[in-house]
Amino acid sequence: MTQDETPLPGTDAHTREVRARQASRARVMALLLGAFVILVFAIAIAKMTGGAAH
Amino acid sequence: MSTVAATVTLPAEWRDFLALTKPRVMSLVVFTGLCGLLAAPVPVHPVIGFTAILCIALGAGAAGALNQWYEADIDAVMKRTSKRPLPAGRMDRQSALHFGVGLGAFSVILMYFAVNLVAAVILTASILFYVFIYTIWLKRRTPQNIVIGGAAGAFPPLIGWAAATGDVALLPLLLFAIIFLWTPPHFWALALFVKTDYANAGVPMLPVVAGERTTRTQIGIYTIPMAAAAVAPWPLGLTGPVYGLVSIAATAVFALLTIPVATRAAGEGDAMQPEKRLFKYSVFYLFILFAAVAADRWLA
Repeated sequence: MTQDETPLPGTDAHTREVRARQASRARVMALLLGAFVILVFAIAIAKMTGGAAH
Repeated sequence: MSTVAATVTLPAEWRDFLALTKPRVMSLVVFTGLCGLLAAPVPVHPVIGFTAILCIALGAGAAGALNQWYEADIDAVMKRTSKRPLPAGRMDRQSALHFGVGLGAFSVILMYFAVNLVAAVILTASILFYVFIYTIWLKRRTPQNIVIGGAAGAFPPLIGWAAATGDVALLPLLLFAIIFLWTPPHFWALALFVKTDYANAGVPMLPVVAGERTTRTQIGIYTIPMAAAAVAPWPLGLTGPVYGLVSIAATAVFALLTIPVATRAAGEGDAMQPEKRLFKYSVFYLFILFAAVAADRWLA
């Protein structure tokens, strides 16, 4: 959606667009958090096998 | 710094947060960081190596976001940057600030816990240098902005090396010097053909303040120490002939492209082809040099 097509605040179209964007951001955040959990697990395994320079 | 005129009525999309991290700039940062890591004489666990590069990318993204947060007013008047999320009114400034600070803190903390303290300290220094020294202090005040500010983009190979070894040595310092000395000719070549944009935004880039002739001379002058730093690792015994020969050939091409830029005078309505050619090649040049550093280590 371009700036010119932005719905006016207070309208149903505006509310729908806000909800759609919130849902889209929430999905991306969920994916990133899932990836972070996997990364932390992998780091823990790597550290236990002595994989980091100190 | 002034506020951006556009009124934001919708929450930003995730793509706008991604755009805030300057993904194209990040690719060069990630590549040079990866090459610094691969050039280290110590093998690094793939997961730790991946995490280190991820932290470098996130740190660079945070610095880019904070840069856009601070420079929204400049971006709004420059054609090249006017479509960015803040000047285009797709995001409010507070969201950009929170995102940048949060991402920067996250990258440093993750680097410290997953990799090591030295890499985390250098990553912190690079983010702070880019935001406070380059963006806030130098950029609007002096035509030397990108000369000193170039150091901010030179940190990634140091961080990559430190992630693998937990230390800093002469070779990563030379890699730092190469990027540091490469930055002025690279950006001044760009500034020569987008001079009007910088002038409109009030950014004191060298062509705007000192004129085209001085800029062309400075490009030529800075190419000399850059070339010396680029070739130095081989005669110093820090790399083998693979890097040595690639660096000599690539630097010779750089010098050949610099000569017309440094010596000619552009007339009215000039297409600035030599300057555009040098700018494009300078990006390729850095890629090829750093790829050669990594390849040299792995082929040795």
